[in-house]
Amino acid sequence: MIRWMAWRLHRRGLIGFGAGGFLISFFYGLAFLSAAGKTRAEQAAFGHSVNLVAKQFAFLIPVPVHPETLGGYEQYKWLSGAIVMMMLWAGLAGVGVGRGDEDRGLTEQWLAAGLFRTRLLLARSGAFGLVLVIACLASVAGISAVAPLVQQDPNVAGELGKAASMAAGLFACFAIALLISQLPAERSTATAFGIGALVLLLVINGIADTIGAAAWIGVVSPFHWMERTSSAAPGGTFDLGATAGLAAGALALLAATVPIFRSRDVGSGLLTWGRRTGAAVRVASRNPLLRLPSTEGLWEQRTGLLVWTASTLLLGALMVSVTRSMVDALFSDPIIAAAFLHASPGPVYASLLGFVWFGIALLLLAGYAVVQVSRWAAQDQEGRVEMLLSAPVSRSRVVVERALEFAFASLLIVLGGYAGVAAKLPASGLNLDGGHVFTASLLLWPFALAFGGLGVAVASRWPRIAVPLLAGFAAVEYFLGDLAPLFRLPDWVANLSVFHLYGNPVAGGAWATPALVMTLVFAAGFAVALVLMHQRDVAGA
Amino acid sequence: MTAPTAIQTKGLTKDYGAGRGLFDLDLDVAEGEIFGYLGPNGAGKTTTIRLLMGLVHASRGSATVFGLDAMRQSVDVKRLVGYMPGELPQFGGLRGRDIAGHFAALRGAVDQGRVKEICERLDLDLGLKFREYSTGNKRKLGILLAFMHKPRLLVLDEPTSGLDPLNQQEFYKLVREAKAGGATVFLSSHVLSEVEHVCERVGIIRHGRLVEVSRLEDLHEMRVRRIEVEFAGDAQPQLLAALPGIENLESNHHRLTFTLRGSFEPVADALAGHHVVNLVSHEPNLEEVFLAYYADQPEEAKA
Repeated sequence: MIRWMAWRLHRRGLIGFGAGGFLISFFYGLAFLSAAGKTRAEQAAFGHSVNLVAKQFAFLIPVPVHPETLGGYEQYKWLSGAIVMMMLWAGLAGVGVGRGDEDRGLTEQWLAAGLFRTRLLLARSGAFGLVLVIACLASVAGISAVAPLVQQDPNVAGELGKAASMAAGLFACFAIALLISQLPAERSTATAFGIGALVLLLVINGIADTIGAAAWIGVVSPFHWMERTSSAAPGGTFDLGATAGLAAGALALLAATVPIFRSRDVGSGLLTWGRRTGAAVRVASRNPLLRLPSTEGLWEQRTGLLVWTASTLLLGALMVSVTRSMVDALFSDPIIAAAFLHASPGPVYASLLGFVWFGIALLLLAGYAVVQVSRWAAQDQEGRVEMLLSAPVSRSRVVVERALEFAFASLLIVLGGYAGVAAKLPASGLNLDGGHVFTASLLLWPFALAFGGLGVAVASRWPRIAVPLLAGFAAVEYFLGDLAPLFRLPDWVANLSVFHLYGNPVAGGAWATPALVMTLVFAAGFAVALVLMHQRDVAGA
Repeated sequence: MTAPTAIQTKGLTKDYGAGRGLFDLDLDVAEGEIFGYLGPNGAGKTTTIRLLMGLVHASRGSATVFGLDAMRQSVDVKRLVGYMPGELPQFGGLRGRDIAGHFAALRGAVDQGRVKEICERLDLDLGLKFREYSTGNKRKLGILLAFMHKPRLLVLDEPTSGLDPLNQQEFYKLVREAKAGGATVFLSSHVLSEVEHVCERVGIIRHGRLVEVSRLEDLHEMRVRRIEVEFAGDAQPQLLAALPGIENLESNHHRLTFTLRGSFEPVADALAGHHVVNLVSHEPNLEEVFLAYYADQPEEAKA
């Protein structure tokens, strides 16, 4: 029974990422045909240019192996982008198993039914592992389906090696988030710490890949071990040791989680703080932040928000600190330097910082929007909205307060990132225009608002499916931005992706039009949310 | 002179399909009245309450609270209402004092003295995090949130479930005090003894339809009684067997036992002139009335 339930609880992830895995591989295959051409010579030239571009960004993404082939190109695209989406999914699933089940009362019910804690944890983790394997195999199916269309060998054995490596690595991400979620009692705090840790491991891998002296730190990152398999490319290798090591590491993390889960109380974290002792309290709080639903929401998620802001601040500072070393390392190769200057004729440091830091910040803020929508959805289903509407509060006000809460929280995170960048900029030797850095940082806010606006809209009407809807939308937006140039789509189509629309303002790119469009998306989402919230029935708990 | 109406519904319907929901509810609850709303699980009690609170849209019909439209003027309605849902939502890591402070701020004009009084009477500690509360303490917090602003109308959905008997008694006192202060109370329950404790009138709902509205004493008159008659000589069941409302008639030496539905008068007439040495009538509680009422409903009436 528990196995069936555990399996069922992952059904949305299975559908979303199964279909997503297939479609991503399929469209990258078609994109290969469109961008690389049909002849061997065209494909070789395309592979050469991909190699040059990829080497510039070796601090974040692995260097491709035979990108002139379908398998090599597809594996490179997976490891350079899609894997981040899968990582977020694995992280959120880990927190969901560790903390979400308890918040929903499921853990209590299962344990009351006589289930052992170890078995519960293993059943939930095993179900996710199975779903993960299916999603990774779907990517093999996707590339196999497109291979005949582009007259390439599907290389099924190599693709299966890639799927195995990805599944093992992502299961390790799941296990990390699951372990971390045992520590705090709050779901929002667990989410912030869990996702924060995975983003940190991604960044550590990038630093290790770029700076020779720091290469040793890469061993702690699952992405480092995933990158060692390149079997989807002809002549690539399947690193059995790395894949087995990832799987063993994931199982070791799971084994470390079991005694923690067994020793702590259900509903509590391993670490407890703020436990009150002393006389009973008989008065209501006069905390001014509790006066409005929006400020009450900020107060309630203060720890999580602090973690998001501090993480963004530290990441921003770190990225600025390492940008110069990265550029110097890249430009020591004259061919790469020439290619870079050809591709990005603007200021070198600014262009690179735009990719290094602002690219990550965009993903972080999209991730924050998904987390925030997940919080609203949970509140709705648990009856918080019903309770709020039992006070003299209109439905419009609920939407307005959510929008304000999101706007303030995202602004705080954006300013945290700017503070980190600004603090390290003078000593970084990058000689960037302070105004451009400020503009680029501030433009992250309307970007976040655009996602928040859509999140408010879907959470107002369909709280149960709001998270997969927004996460799916974020994925489509990301891949649209990535695929549009490969398919040579017109600018207006590419700009339907807010990732593409953001551009590279730190290098002096346009900011006013993107800011306006993204603010309009926020306003439209907000207006739609008002209408939808008034139409629906509110029936929680 | 009739009291002004606190709650009025006309043909109120919420159709969820497949026969589920609430259908054609016509109900008047007078101001200052304590109205019990009885029904088994899934009968439509919570749907009625959510319609009154403007949380769900009616398929047809209307609902007003103090003359205000429950949906269109829901914010004005809720200024006058204290609401306790059937199940309190998850407030996670918020402490009781934060939750009370938040709702007090949203309502405005909540006296800290009133909060303290209710907390002391229910022995509720607002210093704990919500997740640390037991089921009973969560209910107490729900009671505090509903009563702390002294509303004109209390809408309480199965309020005592999870409360221990001592706190149940304290809750009944709070309800009576609210009534004494002029408040109207709409209390839904499937625990009939709860309704017996405090309510003046009772509505019975089943399968989404209101099947009865009676004063509590009238409901008792509809009662089913278990009667024992002890004769000086041998019992004579033929005296009663043909009378209307007699069921389960049993004879045992000097004693007859039977169930009587409806008026006692025909029984008294039949027994007149016979040497009855003892007669015991077991008064039913509302539970028995309720069950008897339901047991008597033909299937077509349930639809």
